Amino acid sequence: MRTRTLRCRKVVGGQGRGSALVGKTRLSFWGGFDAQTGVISERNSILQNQEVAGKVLVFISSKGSSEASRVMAAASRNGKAPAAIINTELDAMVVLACVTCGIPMVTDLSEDPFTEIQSGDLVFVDAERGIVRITKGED
Amino acid sequence: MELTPVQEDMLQGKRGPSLARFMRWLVDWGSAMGARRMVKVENVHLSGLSAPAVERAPVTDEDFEAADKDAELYCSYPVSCTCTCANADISFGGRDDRGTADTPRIHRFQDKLLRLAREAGVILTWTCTPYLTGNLPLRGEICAWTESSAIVFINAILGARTTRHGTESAVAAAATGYVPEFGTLTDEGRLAELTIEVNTRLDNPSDWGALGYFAGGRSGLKIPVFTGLRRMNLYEAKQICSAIATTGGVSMFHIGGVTPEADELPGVGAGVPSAQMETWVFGSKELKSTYAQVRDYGNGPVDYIVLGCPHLSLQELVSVITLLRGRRISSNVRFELWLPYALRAEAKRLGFLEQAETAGLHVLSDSCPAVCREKMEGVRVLTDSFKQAHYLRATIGARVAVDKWQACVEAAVRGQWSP
Repeated sequence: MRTRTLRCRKVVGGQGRGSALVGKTRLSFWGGFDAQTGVISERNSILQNQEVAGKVLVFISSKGSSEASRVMAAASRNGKAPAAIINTELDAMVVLACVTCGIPMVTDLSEDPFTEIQSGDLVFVDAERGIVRITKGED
Repeated sequence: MELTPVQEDMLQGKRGPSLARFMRWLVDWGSAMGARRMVKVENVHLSGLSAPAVERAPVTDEDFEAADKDAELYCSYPVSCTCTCANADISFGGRDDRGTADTPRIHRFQDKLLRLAREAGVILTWTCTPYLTGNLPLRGEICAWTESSAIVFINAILGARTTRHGTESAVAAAATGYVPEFGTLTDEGRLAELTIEVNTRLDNPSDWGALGYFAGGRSGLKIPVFTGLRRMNLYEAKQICSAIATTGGVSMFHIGGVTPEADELPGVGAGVPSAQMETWVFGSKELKSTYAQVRDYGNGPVDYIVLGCPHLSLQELVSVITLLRGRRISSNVRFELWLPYALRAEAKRLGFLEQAETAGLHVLSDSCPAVCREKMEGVRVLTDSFKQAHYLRATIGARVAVDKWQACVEAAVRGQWSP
């Protein structure tokens, strides 16, 4: 197992650990994500049918509906929210969701998260200390 | 972020725990988005006043308790508020128009929210187009609006100023009277960042929707400036604003020579394309391929036709009735038109509602299919709205297609659609 540590900038404080789910895409949490099952439901999304619960979710930014925070609150309550979020661009909607739901969120990683992190890697996000630790998966 | 003594008092809990929680959200959210200070908000469009449906979250005891705790605040909003679509047509009282009942608990919670909102003086417009029913912010007005399509509309078309707001930030803005200043609230945050050259004719509102759907995907979170476009009308504006905020997280756009700030903000003008800007071309090929992206079926029968995303104006409703010229809707088709409650009431008074219902139209308000309908796997939906088509795929599992509203009306009469 190989572990690397990248620097990052805190957006919303806290720590989160989980298996990575990585997609170089934008997500709409209302109308593209099922808060009851925690599954991304947007048709033709590269992350369609993927589960986000407990994952470190790596994507470009939110898009679309302004209801991301309300849907994320429902997902949190259902135990289906991600453990942490890494975005490369900041849309106010998912930032608000992380603030109100207490989900750690970081951006501006010292290297490109889409090349450095693969789905299935174990990722630890420490927003306060500004680090992302990546442990490569078995494969 | 620098706070005034009043804002600091709110944050420290000197004005009660609810205002402290709201101010904490605004400060944390604003700081993360780069805000340096709070500014006074003049106009709020809320969401989240209706009980959960699409989120499928059960209403808990905590929800009831939280609503009680916030009750005193609901009575003292310093800002006038309207509200966006509900999760059902409220006028059907806890059932949707097809008879699907809410659970008694959801119904009780909804009643409670409605009572609190009324006491607070919230104007329960239940619409994604509040600017059609009197909430029309003017140029430069500082707003806290939810509803992605309306956010773009008031920024781009009216020149009012809002960032993209969600349920919690809008409620917090209403209760505290402040919003963090970042993004499109500032002059610099309204400058164009990429160019979209349009070199095809747009013949109807849906074509403008196609342009928006294309542009949103290319823009992401950036502000595009369109070149090569003529002046648009209200119906075209609604379609481009809703579609661009479906594929993108766009807050606003400019159209040279058309939208209010395109040619005149500091520097060279907010919407002046520069040679360094990323540029995309939208021609007849792109127009066609954008329609193809939201087409899941072809020639043949259609089950469910929806107009009214974003909610219709009265003129749009009357145009549909006029186009029907006394013809009736096919019995194989359910044809729904969605508009603000206020305009439905007006349509009733003016006799248009009766005409519409005689023709077999279902004229509904407060909500929309993407928000309120249960799963209808495989049902063939036709709509003039790229936004509605996009979301109906995931929310109800529909097969979708988009065509101009006149073609939707013809398909409704024939029970068949031919692209």
